[in-house]
Amino acid sequence: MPRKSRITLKEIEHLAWLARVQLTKREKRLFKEQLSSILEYFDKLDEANVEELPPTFHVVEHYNVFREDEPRPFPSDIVLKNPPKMKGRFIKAPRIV
Amino acid sequence: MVGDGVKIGLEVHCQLTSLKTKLFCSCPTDYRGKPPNTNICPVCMGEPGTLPVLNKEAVRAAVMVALALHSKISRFTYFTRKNYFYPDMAKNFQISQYDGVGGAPIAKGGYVDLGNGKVVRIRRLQLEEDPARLVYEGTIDTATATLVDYNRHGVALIEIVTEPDITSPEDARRFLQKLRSILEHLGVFDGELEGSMRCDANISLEGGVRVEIKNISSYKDVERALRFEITRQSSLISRGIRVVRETRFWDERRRVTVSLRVKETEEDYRYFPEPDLPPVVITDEFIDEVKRSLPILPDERKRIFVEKYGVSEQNAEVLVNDKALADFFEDCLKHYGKAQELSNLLVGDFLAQLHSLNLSVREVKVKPEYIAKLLRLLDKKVLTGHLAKAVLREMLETGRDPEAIVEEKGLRRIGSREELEKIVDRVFRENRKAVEDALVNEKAVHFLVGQVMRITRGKADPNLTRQIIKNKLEKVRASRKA
Amino acid sequence: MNPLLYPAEKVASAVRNGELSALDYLEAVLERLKHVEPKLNAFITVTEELARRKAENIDRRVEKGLKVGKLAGVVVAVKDNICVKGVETTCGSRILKGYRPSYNATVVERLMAEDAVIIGKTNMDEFAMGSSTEFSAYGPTRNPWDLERVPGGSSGGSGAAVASGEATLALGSDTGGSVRCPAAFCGVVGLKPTYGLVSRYGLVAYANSLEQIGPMARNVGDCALLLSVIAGYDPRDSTSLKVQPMDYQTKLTDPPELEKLRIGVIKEFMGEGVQEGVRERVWNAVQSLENLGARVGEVSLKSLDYALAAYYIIAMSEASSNLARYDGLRYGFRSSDQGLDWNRAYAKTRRMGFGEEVKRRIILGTFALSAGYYEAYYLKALKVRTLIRMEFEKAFKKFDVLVGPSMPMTAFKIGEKIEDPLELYMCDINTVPANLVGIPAISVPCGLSDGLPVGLQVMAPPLREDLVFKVAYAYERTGKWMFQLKP
Ligand SMILES: [Zn+2]
Repeated sequence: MPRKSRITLKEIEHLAWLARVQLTKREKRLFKEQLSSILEYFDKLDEANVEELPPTFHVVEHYNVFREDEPRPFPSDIVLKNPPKMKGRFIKAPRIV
Repeated sequence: MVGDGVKIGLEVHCQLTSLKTKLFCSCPTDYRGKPPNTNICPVCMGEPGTLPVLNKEAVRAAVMVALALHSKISRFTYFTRKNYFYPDMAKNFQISQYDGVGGAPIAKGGYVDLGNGKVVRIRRLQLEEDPARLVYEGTIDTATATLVDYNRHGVALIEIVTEPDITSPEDARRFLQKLRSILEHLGVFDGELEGSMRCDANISLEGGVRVEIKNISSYKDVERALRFEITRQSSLISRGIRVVRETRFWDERRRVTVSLRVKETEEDYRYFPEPDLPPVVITDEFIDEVKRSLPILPDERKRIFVEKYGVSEQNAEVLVNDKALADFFEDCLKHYGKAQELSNLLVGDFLAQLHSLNLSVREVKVKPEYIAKLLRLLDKKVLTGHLAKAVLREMLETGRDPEAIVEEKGLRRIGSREELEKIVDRVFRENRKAVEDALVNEKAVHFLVGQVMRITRGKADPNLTRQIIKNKLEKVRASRKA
Repeated sequence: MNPLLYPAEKVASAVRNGELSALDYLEAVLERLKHVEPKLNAFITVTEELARRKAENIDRRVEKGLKVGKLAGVVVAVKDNICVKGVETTCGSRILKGYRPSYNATVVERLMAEDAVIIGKTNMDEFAMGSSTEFSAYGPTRNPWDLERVPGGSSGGSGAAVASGEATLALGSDTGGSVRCPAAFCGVVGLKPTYGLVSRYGLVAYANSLEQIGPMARNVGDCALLLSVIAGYDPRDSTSLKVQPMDYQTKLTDPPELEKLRIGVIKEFMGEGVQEGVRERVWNAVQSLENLGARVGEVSLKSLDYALAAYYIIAMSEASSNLARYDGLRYGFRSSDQGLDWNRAYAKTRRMGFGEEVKRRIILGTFALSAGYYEAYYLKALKVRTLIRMEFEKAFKKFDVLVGPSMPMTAFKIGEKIEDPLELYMCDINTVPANLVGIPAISVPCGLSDGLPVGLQVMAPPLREDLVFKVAYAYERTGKWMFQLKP
């Protein structure tokens, strides 16, 4: 029996756009198949009776972790060694429109 | 009529400028005037492996704002990632807050009273990181590259989202002014700092669709941008062209909104709770403590101005809408007891002259006692209203004592009947045609008064002058009849 | 005894006493490294000069009679997703090629403060996404026991380095088993600590709510020593726990006291999917523990059936957001973007910079968080996480520790599972629960199956690292397993 595809090529393209990852034609087709079977496996969770349970966002229950408002300047020149493209002290990005 | 059925909602972003460090890292916030990318560190540059740590004072400041806006403070709040790519975001997500599954903003509800009978409801308040500053080589739609300065990236913002309760561009401006005044009264915000308050507006006209305008960076511009947009949309509607739902960009240099031509696809921010930041629990004790430390706020201050000092409602509203002006008013009041007269001067000539000099109240160098002196010079009729204006201008430009200005420039009122009669005689001689007009037309008298003022450089007492001219005209009439 | 086989503590004490020069020891390790590295590819970067300078500095201080740290002269390999200031940190990805962190990870600072000698950055699955170290942009690492096989992953480089004597100790990171899997496959000890015990500051995030940096070593004592150095509260990590630092090594009593310790064997870990040889070795190990006085019982955790799906949904969702920052602007690789607007430029840089598995997980994570699917996937997975936590809490009322195989199989052949992502994900079935629940879990070698190492996994309640060490140490002391240098 041919496996029903859970995800369409169009959806893969939309997700790739949202994630700003260009995919090749081969990758799109491959991902469509692979993601469909992975999502099918994820359906396992539908069997779990968890509607009433609260979600666990953090495994450790602590809260109100703060930092005092005291400035600690960082030597910016070290950070500026990394950007591949600069103009003066500006970091260069591609055009917007 | 143009402007009918307008609905405006604002998303205002205010930097919490009282904080010494950014929202999630210890970089100092004093970036203004510094070279690009100076106040940066691995955290706000989104270097791999870095983690955010919440600035304690940001929470306190946000709670203060919430209390001042009558909002309901969440007892349990947390940060949410808003995922979207843009070159002003070091991590390509913004640590923000969100009202929905996976979010709980620091406060919801509340309102701002515009003081003109209108109230704007607040939808929510949230803390978030300021994006970086983008510099376009040219304009946004023609630049071939974008330059990024991360100095302000990560500075704490409080976002204040209103309901679409605002019905005119003027009220939008009024709202921002009032908001600024409230935040300045709280001491968490300084509107004078460049770029400290920015907003996005969404606007719809009767029967139209919602258009979002981004990149509005002052409360003066909010009015301009919205006016432009109302004109643009109503002209489209009147020509039978459909207004499209879109995001537009306010170009403050050209003073137009331009379409950003964003892709058709709907934004999908994929909100989820920031795993690197534990939730914040705000206790009643904390709220009470903040409440007790709350300074006096504009609405309360207005009440005091009206009830205790006897200032008119209208003047009081103008005064408290600018914290610096209200402070100045109270300073002056210590030297001059007639509150209403004082307020008249401040909300009238004083503000008007500041405006024409392009100065803010805080830039004023005039000592409060000099304002008091000026008012007393008026009271003693040493100065006419007209002269007072000139003296005030000189005071604002130089900060000098009004008495010294009066002495030096001889700006005293000419109140002697004898002296003025001589000048009127001269005016009558030199303006025969005008005198003829004035004999039959009451309005032409005004011209003659003006001539006296011109000759005396405004020093003539206007009432006395008018009286002398009328008497003289009467005499002419009588002599003709005879 | 060959100094290369000295336990870390002995290296440190010998260096401290002036019996062993830190530089001599380093040179011996470097020689070993040069010999085996061409076969293993365990390192992405070897920081030979940096290491020499550190060793010389230690020797000088010893000579002058100055104080040296707990790890004086001990050679430590650091996984390439842990930031060392100024040293290229790639996470096994092309997209971080050339990135030199402007800061040290907290664990690295702590290593340096205790005078460890950092020898280099180890190979890994790209961004720790994998269980075999095959998904590295810098080529796969090979298992020292069988060069045709994978060392496990994603900390495969760290596992191989420790197993082969390229380092005394190593740091790995464990998001869903990435320390325990290579520990099991390479025959070394590896611990995933309690969530929040070790600072994540400087660990390049894959899935923040699941991962911890973990120590890897040749024996339990070394593993405990390394944990003692790296554990503890860090104000730079808001999820870090405010616990008093503990000397885990001194908790290891000799002879070990297992009387009355209740050990629960997780039924679901011993079922059908487990290789026969693995199951046998693990039962034998449990038997040994029982012989030492432990009370053994079986426990069933039904919710474990959902663990793997929940784990992958959470991990991929968080990853899709964490990896958004790699756009070529601030660090690492940037493709040529002449004429492209920012959208296209980003998409191109990310196409060229990321490998296939990373793209797969980013796309899936994006899907799981997107409008309309968030509640069905991400939120559901977090609720399942609650369910699993509750079941573990219940089990820990009856048992002090829970045990089972770390991996359901021994090291598989390179390329064997690379075509089918789901099959590869299935390998993590026994390791992911500890990450979902946030509890400590160790993998300790418990024998060979067909000539390949098998790992026994021991889990305990939060912050009971002392318990997992105690059990692992007790087993180690039976002498049924002795560390062997490979290849
Ligand atoms: Zn910073």
